[in-house]
Amino acid sequence: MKKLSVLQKTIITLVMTTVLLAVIVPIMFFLANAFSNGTEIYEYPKTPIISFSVTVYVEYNELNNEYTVKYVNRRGEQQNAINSNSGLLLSNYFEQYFSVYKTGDELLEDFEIVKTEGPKEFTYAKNMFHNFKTFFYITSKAEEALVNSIVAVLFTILISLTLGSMCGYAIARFRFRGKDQISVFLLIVRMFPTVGISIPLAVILIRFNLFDTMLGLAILYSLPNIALTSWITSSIFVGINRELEEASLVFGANGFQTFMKITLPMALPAMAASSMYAFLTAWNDTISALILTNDHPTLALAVYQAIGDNTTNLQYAAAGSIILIIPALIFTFVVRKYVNQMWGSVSV
Amino acid sequence: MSFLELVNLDKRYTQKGNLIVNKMNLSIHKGEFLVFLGPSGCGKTTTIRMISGLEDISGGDILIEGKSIINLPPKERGVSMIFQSYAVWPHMTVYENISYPLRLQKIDKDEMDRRVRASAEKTNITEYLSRYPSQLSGGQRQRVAVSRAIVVEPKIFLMDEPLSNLDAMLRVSMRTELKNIHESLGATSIFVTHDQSEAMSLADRIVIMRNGLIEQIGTPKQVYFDCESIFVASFIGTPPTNFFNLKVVKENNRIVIKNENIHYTLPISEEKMLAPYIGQDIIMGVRPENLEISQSSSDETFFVSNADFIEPQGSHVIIITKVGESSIKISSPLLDLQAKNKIFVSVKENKAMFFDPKTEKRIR
Amino acid sequence: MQNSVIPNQVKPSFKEQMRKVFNKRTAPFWLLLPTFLYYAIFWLSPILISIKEVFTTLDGSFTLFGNFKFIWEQVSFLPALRNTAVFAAVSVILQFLIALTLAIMINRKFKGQKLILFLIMIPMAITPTAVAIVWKTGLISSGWINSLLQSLNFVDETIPFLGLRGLDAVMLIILIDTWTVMPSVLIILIAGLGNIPEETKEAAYIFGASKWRIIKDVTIPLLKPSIITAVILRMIAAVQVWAVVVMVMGFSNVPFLVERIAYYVGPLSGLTGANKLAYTYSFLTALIVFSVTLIYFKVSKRGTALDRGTQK
Repeated sequence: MKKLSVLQKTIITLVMTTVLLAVIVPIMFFLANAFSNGTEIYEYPKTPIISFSVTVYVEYNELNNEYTVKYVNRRGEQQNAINSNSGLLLSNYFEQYFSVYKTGDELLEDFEIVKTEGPKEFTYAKNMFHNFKTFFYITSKAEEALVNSIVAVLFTILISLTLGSMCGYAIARFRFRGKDQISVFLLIVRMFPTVGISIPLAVILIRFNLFDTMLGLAILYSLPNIALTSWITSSIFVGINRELEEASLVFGANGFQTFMKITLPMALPAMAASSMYAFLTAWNDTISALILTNDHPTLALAVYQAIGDNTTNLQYAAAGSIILIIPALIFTFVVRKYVNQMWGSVSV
Repeated sequence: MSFLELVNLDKRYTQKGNLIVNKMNLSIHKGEFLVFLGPSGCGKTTTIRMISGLEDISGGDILIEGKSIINLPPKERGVSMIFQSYAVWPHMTVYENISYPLRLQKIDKDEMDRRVRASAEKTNITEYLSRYPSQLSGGQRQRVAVSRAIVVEPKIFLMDEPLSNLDAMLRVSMRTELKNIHESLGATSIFVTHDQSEAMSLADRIVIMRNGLIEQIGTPKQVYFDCESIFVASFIGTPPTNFFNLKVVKENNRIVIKNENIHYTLPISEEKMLAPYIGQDIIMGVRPENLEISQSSSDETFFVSNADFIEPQGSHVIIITKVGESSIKISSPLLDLQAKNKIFVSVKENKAMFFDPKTEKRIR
Repeated sequence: MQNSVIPNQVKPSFKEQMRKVFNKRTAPFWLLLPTFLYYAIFWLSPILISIKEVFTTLDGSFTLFGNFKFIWEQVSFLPALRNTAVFAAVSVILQFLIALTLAIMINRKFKGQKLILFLIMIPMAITPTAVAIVWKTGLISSGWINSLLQSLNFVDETIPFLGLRGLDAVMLIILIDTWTVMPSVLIILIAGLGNIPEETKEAAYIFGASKWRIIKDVTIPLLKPSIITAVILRMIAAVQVWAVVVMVMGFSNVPFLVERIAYYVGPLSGLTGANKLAYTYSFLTALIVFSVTLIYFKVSKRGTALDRGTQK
């Protein structure tokens, strides 16, 4: 049953390869774009490989007493770039279009040799952070937005995990009337589109003085996540053998100590998973942030607003996106590690 | 004065629900090893959970040394417990597991360390103190649970089917250890099980429960040979007691118990007991080893039958036969008996038990 | 002993009073109370406000259909409705089919299985805003998609992807969406496959079923709870698509329901009536999502665990 025929193996390999290419190729091009300089971004056709350096071809024009700088692309073709003998102009141009950080004096000193030995190619290392710097420079409030996003995420995790795990525990551990209805209600809340809530919620947040604050946003993000957390944690709490808690009670703990020292640590994987969902909701959202903030955008919103429907200078947008992606990746990675650290094979 | 006393103890889970434990009265002496034995759902686990404080009581009282404890939380009752699933916390090391109760009592570090090591010593798990439970076998986890239970030096030691998750070999060796620990600590222990051989080998006294009621309290010997009810007689012993539905009649001035296949002349010493039942139906119970087989008929012959099957057990054989419609099992030392042989079965003197068919209680 | 159990009638201590308020019986109430207050204030009252807004005119008088008529008169309403419907239907089916195929292929043990799974999962971790940019850098005429197509000699001239309108544009967005969210469908299905006992398949094999028959007759029926979960969750998310649309195609070029909401609260905010339109659009979207949820409930009630396998 386990063995596959050659044909089946071929088909599977083909499908897998296609899917992997479909995943990886866009990402490679995207990364190459994010690290492109102002010249490479308009090159066509594009290459999916990040370039770390820039090569220029420099001639000395005796007539005008200036250098003619030509950009040499990766296929060896030359493009006119700038004609100048001013160190300042050259330096600015190199920074803006080549992401090369050199002072005018340095450049002029390098080019001096062309005067005597004729045209020559020079290769300079790109400053790989140029696009990121520029992103923060051209996007007003980008730093603040980054902090805002983190604050919103923390509030969301705090609210969802506290309230959600309390609900989850009640549902998992106690018998009471209306329990089924509560589960149904929580599911409806979870599925309800937050967009539908955002606009009227603005009215309420204004009343509480929470409009345009991160706590206000977190309140919205927590709506589905409390329900989600209570569902995830209740299924974990149910799976935790009651005797583990009872043992703690018998050996002298009160209910609260037992919950904090026994139940919660064992539910950590569930907490980690829930906090991951809370993180992603708060970090990824743009529409609600658009509705519920005025002057204090989150990072995703800032990136969205910076790019709008531009089609030029996409390298800065791409750099902004990387700033947006990295914390999400780190968080997911850290949480994953935690989830994997679970205590082996003991049936909890 | 008894050490632990249950007074008219009631338990129901919902307001109008069935009584899980019904007007239970029991007193337990200091240093005693008491075993609750019964089929699942008989209320035995509920009872010790009420003693531990994990379960509220619905009526009655529980007294330790004369003081009511029903309003105390578990930690103030001076009890300790071993759970069926061991309840060893998977996120703590063995050391942390054992020291947890002491940490809750805020006992100072050196004292705690000394006590943890001493109790680990008693259960032979000293070398595993820094491990996590997932790295231990079932038997070792069980020892951690025992160690944790004894470290608090409890007044009462509660054990809820602690051996049921172990394999057969370990179960036997572990129960000897538990008994040893009980004796060396001089603790008062209550042990819940549905395994009668466990109960027999451990208990000073056995409490046999059914449907929330105590059927019989007695030493292992008493509950085996001197059953209070049909239930106890059928529940204890493998193979169980043989029952015969018979009628009490008077023949030739002696009381005789009989039906169309069976004839039993009551010993004179027991005649007074059954006199009120003359002319009535009665249930007679005889343990398989109290039935004797001979090759020829005599006055004592109880019934005559064929040995349908013979199951050799090593030291003895179990003979399965039939009287009327009911199947009867006889335990006999006659190792060379052949199947299909005709057998004459008699009852050892004074070894028959008689039960009232209406109350199912023993007639005394 | 019988009569002596009369407790002393002293005033109950503070500890006892606390125990009366916080005990096993009242615990679930105290645990659930904060959440209920939270939902009453931040969930239920917004919904009531929005219902009030949808059924009142701009000057505050009651109207049953006024705002719906208003929305109907917008040129972009019908295209938005159509685009959303097409998008939801096609993207969900496409993602499901790809994910199912992959799940069945990946579910058998082979070398590099974990690595492949990890690589396939990457797009899921990318923020939607960033996804839009990944694809926008590709879709511009000098973007990487045209570069790729041309260097592989598939096309001679660059294709103006961003100029696409109507259903063509919807199809393009479906492909982008599939790239991003297919992994989340895959996760649910793989988790579901993991729960199917190997013996059920082996039994079918012993009785002579081919691999294809085993998949069709055993695996897929047993996977049904996971399939329902995945499809409905995707459906709910698909109805709410907007960010990718706006960032790739711009506002109003390819209207969607939620894209319209963003349009009215974003670029058009402050204009008379825009707020009403936003309310009505969000009311309609909520209504659609809510109906999908109800259907989900009806279907999943038939002996399936509620979204088993979404946690992972």
